Amino acid sequence: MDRTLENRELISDLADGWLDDADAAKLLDQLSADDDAAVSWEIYHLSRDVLRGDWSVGADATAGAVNGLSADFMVRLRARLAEEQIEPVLPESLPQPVMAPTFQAEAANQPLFRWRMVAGLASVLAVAGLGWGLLGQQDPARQGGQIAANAVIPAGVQAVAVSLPGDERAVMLRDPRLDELLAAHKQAAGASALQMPAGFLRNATFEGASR
Amino acid sequence: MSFAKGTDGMRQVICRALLPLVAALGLHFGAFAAQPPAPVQAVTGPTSAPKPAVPELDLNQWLLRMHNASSRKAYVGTFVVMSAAGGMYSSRIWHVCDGDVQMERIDALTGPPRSTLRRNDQVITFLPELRVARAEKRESYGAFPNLRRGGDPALANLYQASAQGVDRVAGFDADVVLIQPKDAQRFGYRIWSEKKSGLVVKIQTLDAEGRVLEQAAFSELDLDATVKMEKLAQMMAATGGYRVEHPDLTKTTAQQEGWALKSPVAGFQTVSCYRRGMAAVPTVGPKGPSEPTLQWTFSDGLATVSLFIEPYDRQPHAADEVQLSMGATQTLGKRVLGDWWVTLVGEVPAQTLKLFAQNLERLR
Repeated sequence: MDRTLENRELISDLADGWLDDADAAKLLDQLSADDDAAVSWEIYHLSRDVLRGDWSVGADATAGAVNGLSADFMVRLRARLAEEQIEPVLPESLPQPVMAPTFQAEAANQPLFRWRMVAGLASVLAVAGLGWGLLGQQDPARQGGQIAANAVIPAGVQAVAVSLPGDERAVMLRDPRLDELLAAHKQAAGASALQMPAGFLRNATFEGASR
Repeated sequence: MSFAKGTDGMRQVICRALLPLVAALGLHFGAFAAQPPAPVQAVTGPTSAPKPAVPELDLNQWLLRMHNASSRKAYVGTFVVMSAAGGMYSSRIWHVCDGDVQMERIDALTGPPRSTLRRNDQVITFLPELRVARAEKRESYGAFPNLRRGGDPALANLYQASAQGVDRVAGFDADVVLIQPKDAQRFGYRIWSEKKSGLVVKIQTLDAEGRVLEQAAFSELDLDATVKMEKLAQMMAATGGYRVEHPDLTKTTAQQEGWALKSPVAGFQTVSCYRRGMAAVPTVGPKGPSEPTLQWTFSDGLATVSLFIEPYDRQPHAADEVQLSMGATQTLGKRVLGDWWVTLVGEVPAQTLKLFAQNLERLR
């Protein structure tokens, strides 16, 4: 198991209140030094908020990105998620993502604005991921990805939990179809791309993360 | 990103507060120009005082200068792209130019390993994890011959450029140029152009309110680097052990495929039109072999929009319209004319994508 995955497991344990004081203190030190760990910490809290129904759409940056969705989309989405049956295939080596609803501590080293930014982004990704995901429901590649996602993520929040804060990669990974169209667009966009190689650099760099 | 917006906002506030003070005291603005750079919008108005030492160029002259810089310079650097949503991608760049030949190597530092090599419009992307090399031809440099001849007059109807001052990026002094759209159909750009060479070292894409949607910049740059073209050429040819994939493209025209726009979207012209085989789409659907996706690409000279048109029943769709935003790139999936699904992708406002979708017309 690589170190990142191991860390995420520990963070999950911390969120669940399963770590003793010494281990918790050690991990909190790591959180302050490691962006990836801090992001994982935020994901677990976000997941918990979603499970408890504390998370609402409409705030933050979501408004612009879900223009195409009807007003009761989130209500219906929650209802659907509540009904979702997840196969109980949980390999022992994977983190147990059960959230302890009583754990309230905020990451003391995370300023509030960063938390809000990530939460807002994750909700955008959740909606966007589902929106596009529904387009490609029959896609075998995507289905494979979803099964894998279900195995490590709490029931009902797979869209949130697979979305890595800080980038749009999760959406791309979940929909190879959209990924392909974006790549095709970038290929054609070489035609102008601001009429300069800097546009090409932008496209190649941006594209780099979508594979 | 939020910090960029905040910084700009604060600068504006400070400047708005300072300007009346300057006027009231009768201070010469030149005194301020000697201060640390202040590339702010408040000094760009027609009534503004003398600007810092930035060349007085028009839109086409700026673009030409930036364009030509790449054909002269060899450089090595680290390039970072950040989207307003918080996404961050970076890559390592090697660039070299000899006469008419430009070569570039771009190694992604974010996400799966990936190395892109370009010789003018020939591009090959190595994906070592998949042992796949994607070879393609970007319809590119030279597609706008007007620019090289000194400017595309049509572009000046769509955008205007104004110098914003000087700033420092990756250790280099740069002129800051604001390229503003003249209508709501396109985004604006703030571009940092290295003072001596004109090389673009930073770009922000701005929405109608001036918010930064995405920014791309060199975080580190060496303009005196030695980059050997032969070495890049060798790497580009080293496809051994890789499966080389070519895009499945057939050149066509929109008219030939039975498509048109009822009315053009201001400033956008057709760049290309292809029938494109898509790997992620089943080639045989419920109604037999499906048609390839049509890719119809437009550009206004700076921004690009692609329309991907396919039969509606090829894949199930949960909604009749889905919109998604990723940095400067906007996407819109929409059912049109009942039987068709169009996916629009472009570095333009979502509104512009909607205009394209609404104007789409079937000729047969």
